[in-house]
Amino acid sequence: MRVLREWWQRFRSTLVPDRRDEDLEAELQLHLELVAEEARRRGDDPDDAVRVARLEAGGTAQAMEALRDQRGLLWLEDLVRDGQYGLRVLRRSPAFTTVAIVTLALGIGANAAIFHLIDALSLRSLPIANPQELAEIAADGIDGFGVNAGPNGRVTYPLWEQIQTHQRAFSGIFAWANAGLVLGRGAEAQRADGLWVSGDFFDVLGLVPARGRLFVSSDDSPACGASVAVVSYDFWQASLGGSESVVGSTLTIVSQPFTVVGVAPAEFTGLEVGRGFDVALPLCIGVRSSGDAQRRDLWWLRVMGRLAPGQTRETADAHLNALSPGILDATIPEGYSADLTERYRSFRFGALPVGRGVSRLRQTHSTSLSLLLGLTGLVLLITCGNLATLMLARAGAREREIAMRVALGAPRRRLVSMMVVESLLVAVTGAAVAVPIAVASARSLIAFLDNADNPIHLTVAADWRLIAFITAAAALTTVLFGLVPALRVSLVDPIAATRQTSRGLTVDRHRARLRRALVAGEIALSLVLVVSAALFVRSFRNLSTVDLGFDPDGLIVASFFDLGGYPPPERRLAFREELTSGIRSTPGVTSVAASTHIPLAGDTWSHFFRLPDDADAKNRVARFAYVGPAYFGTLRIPLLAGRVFDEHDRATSRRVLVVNDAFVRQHLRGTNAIGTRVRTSAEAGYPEATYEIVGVVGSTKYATLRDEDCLCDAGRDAMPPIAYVPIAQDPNPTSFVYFIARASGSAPALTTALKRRFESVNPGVGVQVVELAPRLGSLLTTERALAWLAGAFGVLAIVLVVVGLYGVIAYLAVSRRSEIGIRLALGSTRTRIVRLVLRDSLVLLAVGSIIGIPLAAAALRSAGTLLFGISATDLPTLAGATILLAAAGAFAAGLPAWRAALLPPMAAIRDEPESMWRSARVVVQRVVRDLKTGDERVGAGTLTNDVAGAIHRADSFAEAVQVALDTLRERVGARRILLLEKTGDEYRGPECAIPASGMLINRLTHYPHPLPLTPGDVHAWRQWAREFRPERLAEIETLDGAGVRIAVPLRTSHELVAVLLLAGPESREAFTAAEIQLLSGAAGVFALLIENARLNKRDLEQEKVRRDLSLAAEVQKRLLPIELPTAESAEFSAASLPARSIGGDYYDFLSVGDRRIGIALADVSGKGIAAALIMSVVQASLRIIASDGDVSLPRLAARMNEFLYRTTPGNKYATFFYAQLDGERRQLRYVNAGHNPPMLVRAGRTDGGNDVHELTVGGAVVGMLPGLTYEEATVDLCAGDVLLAFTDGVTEAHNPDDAEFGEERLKALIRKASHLPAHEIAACVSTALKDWIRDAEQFDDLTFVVMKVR
Amino acid sequence: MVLQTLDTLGPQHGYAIAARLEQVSSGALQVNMGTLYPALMRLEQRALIRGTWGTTEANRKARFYGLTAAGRRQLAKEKRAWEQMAGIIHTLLRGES
Repeated sequence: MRVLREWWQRFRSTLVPDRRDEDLEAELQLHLELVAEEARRRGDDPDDAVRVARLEAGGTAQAMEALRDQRGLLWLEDLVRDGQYGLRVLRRSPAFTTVAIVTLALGIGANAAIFHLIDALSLRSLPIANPQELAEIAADGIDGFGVNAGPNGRVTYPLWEQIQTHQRAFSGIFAWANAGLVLGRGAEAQRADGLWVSGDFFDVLGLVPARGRLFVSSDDSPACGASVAVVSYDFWQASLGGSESVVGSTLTIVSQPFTVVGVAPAEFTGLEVGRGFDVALPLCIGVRSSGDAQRRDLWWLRVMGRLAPGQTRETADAHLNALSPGILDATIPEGYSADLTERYRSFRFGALPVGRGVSRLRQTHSTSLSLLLGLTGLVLLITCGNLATLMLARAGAREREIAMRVALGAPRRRLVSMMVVESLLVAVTGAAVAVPIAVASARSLIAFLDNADNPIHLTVAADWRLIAFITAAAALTTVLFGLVPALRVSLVDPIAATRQTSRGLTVDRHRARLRRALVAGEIALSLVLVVSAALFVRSFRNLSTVDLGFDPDGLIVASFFDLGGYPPPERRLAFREELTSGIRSTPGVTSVAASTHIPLAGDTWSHFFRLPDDADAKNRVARFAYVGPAYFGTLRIPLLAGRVFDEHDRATSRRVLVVNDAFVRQHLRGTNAIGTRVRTSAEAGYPEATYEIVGVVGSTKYATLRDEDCLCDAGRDAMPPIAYVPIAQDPNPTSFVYFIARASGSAPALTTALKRRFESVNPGVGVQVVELAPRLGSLLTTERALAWLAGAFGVLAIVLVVVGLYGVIAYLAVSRRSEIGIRLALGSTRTRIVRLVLRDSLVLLAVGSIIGIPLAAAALRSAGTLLFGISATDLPTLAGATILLAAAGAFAAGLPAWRAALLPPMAAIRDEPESMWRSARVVVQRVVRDLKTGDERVGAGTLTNDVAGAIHRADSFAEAVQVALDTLRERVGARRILLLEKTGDEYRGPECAIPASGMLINRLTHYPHPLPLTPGDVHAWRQWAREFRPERLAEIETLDGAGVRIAVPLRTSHELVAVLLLAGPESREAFTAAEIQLLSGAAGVFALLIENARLNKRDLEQEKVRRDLSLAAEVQKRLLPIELPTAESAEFSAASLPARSIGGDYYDFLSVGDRRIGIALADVSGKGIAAALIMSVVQASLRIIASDGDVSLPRLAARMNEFLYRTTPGNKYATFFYAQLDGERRQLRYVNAGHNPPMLVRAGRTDGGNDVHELTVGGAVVGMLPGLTYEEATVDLCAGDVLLAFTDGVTEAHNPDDAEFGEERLKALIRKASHLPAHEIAACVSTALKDWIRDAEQFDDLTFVVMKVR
Repeated sequence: MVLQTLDTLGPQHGYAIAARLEQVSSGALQVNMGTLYPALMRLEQRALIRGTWGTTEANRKARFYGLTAAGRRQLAKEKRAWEQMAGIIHTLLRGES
């Protein structure tokens, strides 16, 4: 509990620090002060006490750190800090951020939209109590059996009664059916979606009314007394105004009054997902008002129930299965043939799960929606891939920064978190933007798919499932596009990264590989999208251009329905005739035919039949249509053989049939069909009958464009076999008929005319008139949507691939710049370079395609059912898509490749200057653009083009600048042009200079434009200067002397780098405004050129010096002997402690023969390369001269002097000590040319004060003056004598307090150590020197040689 | 221990607490800043003590820590627990010797 409280406090203070750092520090400070006070009181040294206190606490800083740790949650603080950092980084590159957020938002939004629709259609359970207890009672195989009324017909009314009576597995069951209702009367009538529901409907579902009451069993009693209705919440709100007085009000439904008893709860929109309802009416009223409702062959109800306690769906299933035979036997429809009856009896009922509602939409759209979800998923993946490559590129640019962080000790975990937080910010923002996008897209998609034939009622709103999906998508994308690059970058090797310049490839290679892999993957995925786009567009094209077999344009369909004024059945035929002639006589109607069937409306009517030759009882099946005589003419279906119907084909005459071509081909094998007899099987209301074929017409589509169940081989041009019967011979004369008319003129006009004409005739008969062609268009809604969306995704994929590939190739091209430059310099052609760079992208494209093609084929196989007239693995489509993508990719890669090839070779090799060239060129381009709008008289555009060209061709910056200056001068017509660059405190050009603090510069500093100077101005200045500032006169004279008429400041962002002075134009008074503008523009180019040249020069110089130094140090190190000489008479040791920069110390041991050994020590004046070089001269000459063992030492020194004098500049010289040890004679001969006197410690005389001899005999330094002479001295040696020769670096070694080591200290040291062996003496001296120097910086090498006589 | 000190002396600033602990333990316990102040902060975060800025006798600005009611309860509880513990150990050791 207390601990929880602590965490809470820590959490709080992370966000709102309650105690700031200063506060904590003050407390610690007080503590220290008190410690000091206490110590003072005790009499101790207070400083000591405080130091002790500090030491104990590990210092205030550590204590603060501990306090900060305790105060807040460190990781949270880090997270917050990362967030702030990420925001800053993102804000710094708004273009990247915007692109990233927008693409992500679109990607996630599209996915979420599709998910939302799928969710709404399939995943959400019905808004009812315990939906899992609900089950549907239906039998397999009833689809297409008997007469199906609407898509929800599963059970006949007699069956419903049987099931209701006999079932025991359900605690309650109900039946329902869709009802197309007409509300209101006459002209006010409107269509409404109704539900026929049995009495227990609402009760079993467990719904609670929003207003009033819902139905109870008594509303649906056999007596069926009151006409009551329940309205849906939406209908109440939208059509009834949501008034509270709704309960008890009256609705006119199908011309009858109904009393509204209640309103269904808001969330209940019916049992069919995606299709709402307006009014629910008791089932008994539906049964009572229609004579057909109780027919045993009319399947129009759905039955559902709630499982009784203790029952599972399986037990209920078994129960219903067992009940089935009895129920079926009791309800066998009359009039069926024997085998059909047998099939009826074989049905078995079962309990099907229904918890998620019934949905025709789900069936029609689920495949396409899943496919769309897949496609949008791919888009999102590709987006992620692109973002990842972008992030990688950015990370690459920030590599040094990251390396620096690693070097400074940032743990990788923090780096990764830093970068992931950055990605997360992008993803979260993208996701936030995606929510409205998702809702809007889902809405527009619904609007797109919604049409009159297939209405969709789905509520779309940002609910928690959508938010959850988007959150998950955002998290996933973060991982995909953020984590991988972050991990990769955090692995950067700090040393390599800080050292590397843009020309390095070592570290980049891994990342390049990752980027390549990402892009190849993107290409593969994009190929899927492009292929799918191509497939769906082609499929849609196939569908919209498919041969219908008839001409739909100008066809109008009229239907008349009963609003209570329909004539009785016996008058129906006459009524039909009246209507037909009525329509025919309407102006604008060419012909009209009655028909039981409208082509492509989706309804089918099939009959089983036999041909005379059929020996067995095998049933053939064909589509049937009962049509009026003018049908074929009206639809323009061609007659192929025989005749069509005419007025003589009456109910009583011979039964005749017209079949289509497909019928003949499929059932009659192309033989002459005329005269063939066709015998239909008996069905309820359709007794067995024999027809004779009298004509053959062209094939047409029947129910749908695709005609998947056309009873034929499906395919693009597949046509179902159709048999047409004269409508007069329809065995069921009361069938509902349509009237199909052809308009001679405008179809919409005729539609309105017909509607107006028949609406007024009989208020009891409703009329509906529609054009056929637009309805056919709406059949393709799904396909159109798919084609559009897939097409859009395909285009998007191509764009993404282009961007991604461009990025990678450009990146690779840049990192290979040096290589390309070298190739160009070695004579490679630009074409070859382009090919070289392109090869990379072609490899990527090839790899991507190789993965992508099978991927596309596999992924789209499932989409096969959505395609029409094209297979999912259509080869031309695959090939075309691949070629398209490859072309786009090659284009994307070609650009950077071409740019790489256009680099000037030298610029490419030198790398850094290239950026300068490039930036200069960018500026030039900008100026060109700016000036295009300017005055063309001075040829502004061409000027800058010329300048650009000159810069491009020039070999050096100086030349480039000169060429540019000349061009500029020519163009503006100036007599002279001077470029004065800032050097120190003046602006200097080749001919003159003006002070930086002078009048002109002062003016220009605050004047951003070219400053014109008229002779009057100059005169005035001169007058003023003469009066007040005589020291300015020189400057004014300079300007006047040069005839300067205009001064152009060249400035970079922070300083005035140079001034451009132009003398007046040759034949005019002054420069024109256009010329001045031109100068102003050119100033930018020059300023940049100069600034870059300066920066570049500085960089190059420093770089050169560094490189030279390291080279020199290397050379120098090699000049020193690696091995020490060995001799019987003496032992040797030497040491050289190099200073910070390279010096000129040199020592050497030479074996001169006859057991003689030469010892050399030299110190060249100066430091750096020059000193190192002279030292190498010293070494070389000494070795040459000394190799002659008998040369006298004075001569040796003299020759060395000559050598050096000749080879080095006069101010360079060297001090030099050379000694020769004669082991046999135990003698040391030496010459000292201006060197610090070496010390010789005589053994055995350590007690005396003068035991250390200084070897001073010799002469002046070598290399300074010619013709110097030298002396030599000889010393006899005893065993134990020690010689220490050293350079001045040793005695002049500084300690941190700037005190010199000094000769005395050295003497004392050598004296003390002289009893040790040589190498120990050397070590002793080295240690003493190191201890002395500690961390003080030394400016000279410390070199010494030790010899101890044995 | 900090709680006990504050209980005995009343509100005190950090140094006084350290000095007191050192004094009571006859120098055996040397509490340094790096331990003391984070500990004080933790106690404060657990609402066992409350710190306020005030002035010392020497007229210096100092942060004084005082026991809260919860702190007093916690102290009593821990004292009990410790006594119990000490008792057990005491018994144990005596039993073994």
